[in-house]
Amino acid sequence: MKTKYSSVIWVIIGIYISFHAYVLGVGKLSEPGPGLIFFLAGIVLIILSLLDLVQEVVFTKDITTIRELWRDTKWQKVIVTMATAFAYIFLLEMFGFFVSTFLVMVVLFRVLEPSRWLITVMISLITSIISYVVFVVILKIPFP
Amino acid sequence: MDVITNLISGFAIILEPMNLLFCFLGVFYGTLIGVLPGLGPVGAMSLLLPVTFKISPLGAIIMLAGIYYGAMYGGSTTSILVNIPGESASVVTCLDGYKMAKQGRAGAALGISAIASFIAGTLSVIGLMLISPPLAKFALGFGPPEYVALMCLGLTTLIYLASGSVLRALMMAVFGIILGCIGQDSATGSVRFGYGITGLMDGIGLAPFCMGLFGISEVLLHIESAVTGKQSVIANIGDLLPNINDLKQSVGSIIRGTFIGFFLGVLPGGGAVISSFASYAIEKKVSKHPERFGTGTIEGVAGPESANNAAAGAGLIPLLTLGIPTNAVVGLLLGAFMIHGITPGPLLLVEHKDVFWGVVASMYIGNVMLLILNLPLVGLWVKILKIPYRILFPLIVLFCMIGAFSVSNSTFDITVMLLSGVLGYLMRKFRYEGAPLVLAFVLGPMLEYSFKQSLVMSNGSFVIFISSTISSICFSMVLLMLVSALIPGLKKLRRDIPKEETT
Repeated sequence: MKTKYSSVIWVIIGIYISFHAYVLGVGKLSEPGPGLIFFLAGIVLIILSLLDLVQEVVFTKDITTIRELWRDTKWQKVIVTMATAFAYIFLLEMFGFFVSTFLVMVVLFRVLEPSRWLITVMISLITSIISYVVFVVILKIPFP
Repeated sequence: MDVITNLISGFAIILEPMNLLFCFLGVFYGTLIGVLPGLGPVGAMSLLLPVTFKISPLGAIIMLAGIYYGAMYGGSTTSILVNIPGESASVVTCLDGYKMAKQGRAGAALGISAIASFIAGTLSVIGLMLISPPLAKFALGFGPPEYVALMCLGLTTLIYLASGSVLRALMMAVFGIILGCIGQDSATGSVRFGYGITGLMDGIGLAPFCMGLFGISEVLLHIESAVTGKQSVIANIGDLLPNINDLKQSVGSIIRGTFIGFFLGVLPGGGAVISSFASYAIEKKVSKHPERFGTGTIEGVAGPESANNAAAGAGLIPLLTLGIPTNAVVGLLLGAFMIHGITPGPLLLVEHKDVFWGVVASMYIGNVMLLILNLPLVGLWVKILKIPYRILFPLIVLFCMIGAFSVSNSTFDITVMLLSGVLGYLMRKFRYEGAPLVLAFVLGPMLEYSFKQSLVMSNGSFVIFISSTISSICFSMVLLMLVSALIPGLKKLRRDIPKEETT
């Protein structure tokens, strides 16, 4: 199953890449510039995605909609997980390794199946302590 | 005998305690991720890539190679006991392996798969050892145009064997080249698509990119489709050693499987998955009782398991002699070599003799370790299989984030990793392949360099790419594959080939 028009995004990316590559300088074929490979790749990407677009629109029979791709899935959990992971970057800068790891683990351990709070906190605490010892104390990774 | 003396020196290197330890860690971790269905070899290897920055190049390569062939062993355990392939090369093992386990012969199935893996793994190392030196000598005469041709051939074969649309796989390969070339230009030093971000000066990091693309995206897909409740793990394993009858039945299958795996493994784009399927099909053809296949026959486990292990070993040949990876996992190994300042290729055998022979020797030792890890310790892996996913996935996410950070001690790489994760997740949702993207990403800078060199050599003429025999053969094969994938009548042929899905 394929979605209609999903290749449009690749056409846009191809145009963007080849335009910027042209600005960077493609040079001459005998003296290739820094943008040459990007320019060629961008053009090829545009051609391929246009072909794919034609295929999607004209030939593919079992077309599906974007909404259908996420039907019957727990997409909310995906968003929570990703949001928590991105938040970790900022938490690291603010609170350092131990506290931010603990907070993020508490959320993630509850994403799939919320278990009892006490258990979640205990597992998160154990995880944070072990990873602190391994990564900060033993491997000496300089977290902020 | 040159080979023997070199091999002895290789063993002297690998028997140093630290190298032995790295070899053990590699095969142990490889088995672990092979057993766990949620994380494939590419994601798992990239997770460990940052750790290897801090150890010697040889130790790093030994460990990563160990993960690679170790995963082939571990994958079968999950197939046999849970009926879920631990990684994609063990899909066929489910057919007869799980049936055997249900009949109370799990031990025999696990035993024969470990033994088959051991024999095939060892034989393929012998093949690797014998074929590589002459092949490398031959490849010494290759110039930039030949390299461009070989890289294109490798990429195209992978695309041809991709499970989805050829067109989209091609798009992903082109996009991979673009992403791989971001950063400083080797000739002029100007930064391309850097947007003034320091972290992008040297390009996008291989480890964070792969961790996201294969690790995080896999986690996200599991989360959204998570079926709560427990999997039924067959816990009653029974006698671990196959009996004499089993062994007699399997000998032929193991030998045939090894040959099939080895030859398919050497070819560009070929690999463990396709050879395990091929071996199963051939076993069914030669068997006097083909009707027994699928009901729990031991040949159906022995053949494919030896094939995928032989293919894993053989897959290293193009990398070590030509410097060209044939699939995404080996692509990561190439990345690891480069990070340590070693360029695999024909000169590896001359300039870094110790690395080559150390790795070869480590594979003999690693296979013995794997046999021990997988036979007596199978109970441990069964226990690990019982860890629920809700506990496992936060740990995978955490390790990915810590791993990404440790690459260059900056949170920028965590961002790269998470964005690659989103990209990988969306790609799978919209049916774009990850494997061509990663392989092209790794090859991108090499391809750009050789491409430009060729053009400079020929004063801007493209004729240079077809002027030598090797490169014209490669390009005709590329053309043949692309054309045949687009002609309707030949499309079916491609569809019938079992697909390499590297995750």
